Amino acid sequence: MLSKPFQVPPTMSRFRTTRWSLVIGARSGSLKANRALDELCRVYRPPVLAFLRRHGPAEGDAEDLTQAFFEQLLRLRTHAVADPGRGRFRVFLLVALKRFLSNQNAFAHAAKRGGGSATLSLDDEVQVGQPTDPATPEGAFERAWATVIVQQAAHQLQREASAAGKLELFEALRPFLLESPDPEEYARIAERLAMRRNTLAVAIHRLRQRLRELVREEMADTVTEADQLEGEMSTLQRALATPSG
Amino acid sequence: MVPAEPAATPATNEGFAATRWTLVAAAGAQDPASARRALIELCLRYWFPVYSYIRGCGHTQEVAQDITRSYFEDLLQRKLSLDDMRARGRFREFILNELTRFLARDWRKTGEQAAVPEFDHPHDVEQLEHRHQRGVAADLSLEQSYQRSYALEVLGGALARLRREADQAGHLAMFEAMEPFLSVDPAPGQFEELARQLKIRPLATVVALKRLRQRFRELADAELAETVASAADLEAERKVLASALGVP
Repeated sequence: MLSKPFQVPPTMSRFRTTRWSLVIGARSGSLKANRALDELCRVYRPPVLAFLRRHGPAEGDAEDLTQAFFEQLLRLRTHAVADPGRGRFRVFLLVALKRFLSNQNAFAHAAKRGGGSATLSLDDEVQVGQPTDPATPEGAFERAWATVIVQQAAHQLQREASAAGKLELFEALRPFLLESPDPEEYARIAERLAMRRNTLAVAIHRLRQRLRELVREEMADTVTEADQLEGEMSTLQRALATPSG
Repeated sequence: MVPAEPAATPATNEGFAATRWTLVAAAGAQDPASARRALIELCLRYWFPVYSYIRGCGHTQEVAQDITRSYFEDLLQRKLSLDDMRARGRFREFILNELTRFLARDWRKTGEQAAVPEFDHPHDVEQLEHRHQRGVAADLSLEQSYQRSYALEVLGGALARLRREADQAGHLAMFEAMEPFLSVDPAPGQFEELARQLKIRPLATVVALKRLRQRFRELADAELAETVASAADLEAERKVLASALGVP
């Protein structure tokens, strides 16, 4: 793993409307907001699953619990996100998940009484910026979160490559997005693509640079303010630098 | 081989004329080919700071060396004139600005150079890496590690000239004995030991070291003077590089 895979100067000058700000800002029942929340929950399922697996239950149970959690979350919708001060989807999700676990019984009862009346409170203190032990459920969550972000960005990069007719180059360089090539390996690739090694090295650098930009864009979709983005990027750096436990 | 030359670094404004910039500009009017050679030589001298910057981006040695090579190929095949370069600020900034622009180009447009210019590869990667590891701390920002490597390159150039001068004057042994003390004061007893080794009196050793240091400073200024266009720029560059090296 690279030592500083995502060290980039911030370039975002104007902060756009993000999926998460759409969810936060919407009045309950807004179609767009609902769709945005659905999408976010679909994309960010793996960290919830990783948390629940590490939390204890056997695999099947973790899958079931994940399912139940998201059903609950989507049923409660904007009740759940009534606190705009939180700002970050990752933190929201983690707090909601912990709440869900400790209140499982209460939620079950509430659902029996007609559902949707309980609101998730987000006043749990989640430590931000503290190194997280990857062996803990929180650590597993963070790492899976980072992985999702990078994968999403890589998919976007692949779409761009395809649109530009550069899919072959992209596929050849994909293994070096996060890992560095050994010299023989990349000499071989250069030969196969009929490129000079120097040119290939530059392409690797630029491709990584573009991945970083896309990672930032992906991340930006989960926060409401530009200044939260830097904190989230540090969390991601840290999660990727920590060996999986 | 650059002949030993007197310090080309008058400290005053009126004396400030013979920098590489201005010499190249003047020569260019008569002999474009030799002006271009001088310019290429000047660019390639700063291979090491460029390499350091790219290593700082997280690339392995081989990839960093390949990217450095590509960068200089790109820079030199654009056949920038001296005026183009000057318009872009001090040489140090010019090299860095061009580098960040080169690296930030759209990856989808990465292609082969139309005509790859021929130049001698100035460093092997082991040597570069050795200097990089020794001189650049891991916690420096990319720009800081570039500044620092640039400063080290300037001093390295001055040291090489000092050595040549000493060699031509038949004082190579003395130079080699005194080199460790160019920037570090001798510990108690070391002056005497140095004197015994050189078979001269301790007082003469003190004087000789003082002169050598003075000449080293002059040559470092001469190196820097080749990369700026005015005395004011020289003074500013001196400050930037001293601070990059942590010298007060």
